[in-house]
Amino acid sequence: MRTHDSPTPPRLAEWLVRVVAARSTHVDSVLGDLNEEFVRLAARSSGAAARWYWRRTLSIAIHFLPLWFRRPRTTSPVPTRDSTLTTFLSDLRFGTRSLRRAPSFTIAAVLALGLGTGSAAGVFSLLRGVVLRPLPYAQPERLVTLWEVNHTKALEHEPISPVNFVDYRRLSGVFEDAAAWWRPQINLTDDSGEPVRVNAIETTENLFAVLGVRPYLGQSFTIHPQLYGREHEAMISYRLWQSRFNSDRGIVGKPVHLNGYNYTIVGVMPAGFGFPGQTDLWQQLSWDLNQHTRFAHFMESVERLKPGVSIDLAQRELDRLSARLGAENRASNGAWTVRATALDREIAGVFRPALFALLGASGLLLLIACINVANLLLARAVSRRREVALRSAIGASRPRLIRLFLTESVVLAVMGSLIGLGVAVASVHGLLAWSPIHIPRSEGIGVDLPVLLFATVVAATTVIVFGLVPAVFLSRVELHDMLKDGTRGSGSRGNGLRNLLVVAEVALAVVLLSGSGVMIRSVSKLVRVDAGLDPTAAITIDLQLPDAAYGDWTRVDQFYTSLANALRVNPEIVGVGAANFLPLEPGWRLAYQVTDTRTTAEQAPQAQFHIADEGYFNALRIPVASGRTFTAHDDAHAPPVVVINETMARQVAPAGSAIGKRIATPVTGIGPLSRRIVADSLYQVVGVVKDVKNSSLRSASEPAVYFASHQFPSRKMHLIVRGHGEGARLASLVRNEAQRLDPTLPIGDVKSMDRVLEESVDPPRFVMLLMSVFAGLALTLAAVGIYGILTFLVSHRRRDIAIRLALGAEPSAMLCMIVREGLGLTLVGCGLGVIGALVAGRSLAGFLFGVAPWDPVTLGGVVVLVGLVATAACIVPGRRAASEDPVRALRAE
Amino acid sequence: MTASSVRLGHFEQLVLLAVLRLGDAAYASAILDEIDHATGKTASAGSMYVTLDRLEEKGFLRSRLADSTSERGGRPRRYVTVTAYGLRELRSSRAALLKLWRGLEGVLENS
Repeated sequence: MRTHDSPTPPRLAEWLVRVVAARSTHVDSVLGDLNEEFVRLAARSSGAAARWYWRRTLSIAIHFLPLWFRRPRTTSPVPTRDSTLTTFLSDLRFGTRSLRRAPSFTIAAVLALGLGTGSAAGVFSLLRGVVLRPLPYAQPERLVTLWEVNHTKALEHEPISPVNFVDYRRLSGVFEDAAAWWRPQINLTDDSGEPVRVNAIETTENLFAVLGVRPYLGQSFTIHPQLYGREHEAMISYRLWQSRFNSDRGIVGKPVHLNGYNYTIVGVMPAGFGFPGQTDLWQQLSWDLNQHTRFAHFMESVERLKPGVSIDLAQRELDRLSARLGAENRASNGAWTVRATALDREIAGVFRPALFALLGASGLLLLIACINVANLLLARAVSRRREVALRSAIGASRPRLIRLFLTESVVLAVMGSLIGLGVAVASVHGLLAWSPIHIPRSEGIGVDLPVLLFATVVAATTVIVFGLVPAVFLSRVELHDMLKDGTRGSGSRGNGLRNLLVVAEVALAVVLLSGSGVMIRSVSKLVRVDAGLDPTAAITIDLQLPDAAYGDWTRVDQFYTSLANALRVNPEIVGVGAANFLPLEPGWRLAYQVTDTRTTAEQAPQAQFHIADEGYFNALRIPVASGRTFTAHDDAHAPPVVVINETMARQVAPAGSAIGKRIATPVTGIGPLSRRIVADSLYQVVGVVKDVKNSSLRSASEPAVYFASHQFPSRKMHLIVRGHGEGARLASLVRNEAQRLDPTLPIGDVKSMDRVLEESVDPPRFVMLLMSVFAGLALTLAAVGIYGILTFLVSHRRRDIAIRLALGAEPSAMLCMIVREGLGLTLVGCGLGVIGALVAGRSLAGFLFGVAPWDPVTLGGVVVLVGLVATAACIVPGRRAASEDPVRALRAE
Repeated sequence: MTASSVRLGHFEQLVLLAVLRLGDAAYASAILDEIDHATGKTASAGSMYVTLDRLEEKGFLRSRLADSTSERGGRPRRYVTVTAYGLRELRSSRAALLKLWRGLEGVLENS
């Protein structure tokens, strides 16, 4: 019996042994020997044991593989094999032998095939995992999500209002059910250990029913008619159950403290479930959606369409509904509409077009690889004309000849797809493991059977089609001609085809290079965008004070003030500040009024509302344009003040200075997160700061108003710390200080400010990275193609060149002739490639920033680069032609 | 040239002799160790398995499967013994070699 704890040998190696040694009647005992020794070695070191196992596997493979190509023993008592199989085996032997005799051809062809199929299969794996794989919910094609849209304010993708959600859900003609949630920051504390920050949502009770997912342990929430209840129930993820609760099967019914309140765990969701995103905790909604306001947009939702209802139909119903809501509630809903998106598209987000664009790019690369192989096969076929002629002269039939070449192609295809598979596995795993870019749904992506089939079919089709062409072409040619012709002659038919292939190869490489060129330019422009702050040497840590313990808002303010002051005296720290939103993160978009202008509520301009302390602008090195920033004295007892950004200043005071203007807003607080603690709702503008990018790097800054944290405290803050040491060192200083002030407070995410800015550039960088790899490979393959055809040309015209040299032609003229030939093909290819780049570039338009898909600088650069590489590829065969010794060359002929 | 010298290669002879020395305990890993021990040269596992198969196919060896323990993943050991035919081959091979060596002792000492 095999016990569970005994080490197991590498499964792939075991499988390899089983396959290659299948000829042995005792393969089982071979595996047993390996297993026994492995177990013995693994007791000392499992790594060494695995390495030993692989060495043994290799040794066995080396010795058993040749047996597959050996003629069955004539003395063997086995009945004679049927003749097709024998012929096939003999063809196979012939194929491998002749490939072994041409190693450079074989290596070039197999590598080209492997890289081409490998990159296509790799991208295809990602596409399948991220975009095409159905979501792991019941009938996922019926799930949609809703976003509210306000065209007049250029808001295309806003969370929805809870009150509007209730109306959307009532569209019973199109929706079967709908669930909504929002994302509070939750601190989890209990008796079992350190307090932790968890990814949590507070959700309507029907979320799991809408998705059609049952809990792994316990039950989901009881569903009340209004979708909320006061039972204080929570569900946890499998991951949290394992990591925090040690997979305790008696967890159901136990209490946890969430932000200081008592909740009961009612169930554990199944492994791998974390909707939305990577949620670990689901809190039962505890308030009435109807009692909220249509002005506040902060909820996300998932809707299940009725069977047979399309998204378009649902959208038409939603349009009608939002027109009605807009008419009934002009102030809150007048400018708003709602848009339905399929849930899987929403989750894949920008990676959907990105991966399709990359699939296109890898398809082009594959095409180049195929053309390269075809070219090699053609050249090889022509140089084997005499061999073919001889074979048919001594009796090989035409079908047999075709089969012979075909078998060779099959061997190439098999080797190519094996390499391709390796490339695909390595690239997918490498990308997921090493790339800093977060790819949605990347868990469990691997190279699996369909991908393997895809790679094999692609490689096989290429090689077989292009292997067949020369076989058919050759077997048709008159025997007599070929024997007479030998290696001489122009072979014009083959040449024309080969030239065409080189032109195509260059053209495709130009398309790929242009794509990667504009991506590189675009990303480098994006990362150079001035975000309005200096991110170097600064880190950010987010903190959230629990509602229960910090019910008193002056205590909230005191906590952050003490923390910042304690850190400021530390000599390792040069700047400390706090704000409730980070740069690139939009603040609450709310209405305000300037007191000396008369506007109605509907005309009131909108700005992003932020809360910041006196150290924030200095810690991020945000320059002051005029006036001042906050001081420690701007507290609850002082007159209310605000700082605004330059864009808002232009809005507040189109001519003249905004300093001294008064701003009024009815907003007294934002949910449980923050509250105004000054009596007066009129704020005086005391300073204008330079714009900071506050929605994305690509778009202009929106108007923003900063409230003083001592006057408008927030429980949730992002602490910014700038210092001399490492990020981790700074984070530990903050952690110690925070723990000293409140030992029950968990520390949230720690990030460098550089990373905060970089993250927003991740998707275009991902596309750029892969495109550049593909383009680099494409250029290499194209260079190999040009080199190959010119080398072939030179050896083919050896006699011609020798005669010219003998008649007194300058060697340099020969070099020129060859280079001219190569560059001519390259130029035609570049021309076609530029046209192709103009067409294909449009698919990249969505990822580009500050550069057009037809950017002339990029296209020009690509043509020059391809020209240089092509020249280099021409020179080697060109020099060979020029240095030809005419006497030797003629004698060899 | 006698028939036997064609039938048995150098490595095959080493394997057959090691099997004889090991008696009842002859299986691949033990044979490898025995050859290693006697000649000071490590043979490759792959060639061992291929050779065992070939010797059995030629009728010089017979296999018996036993001892499917848990360390072996429940797979049997293949014990081999030399057949009478195998012994005859070894004997004639030895005779042929001795005959060829006769009179060459001087060459050995001088080299």
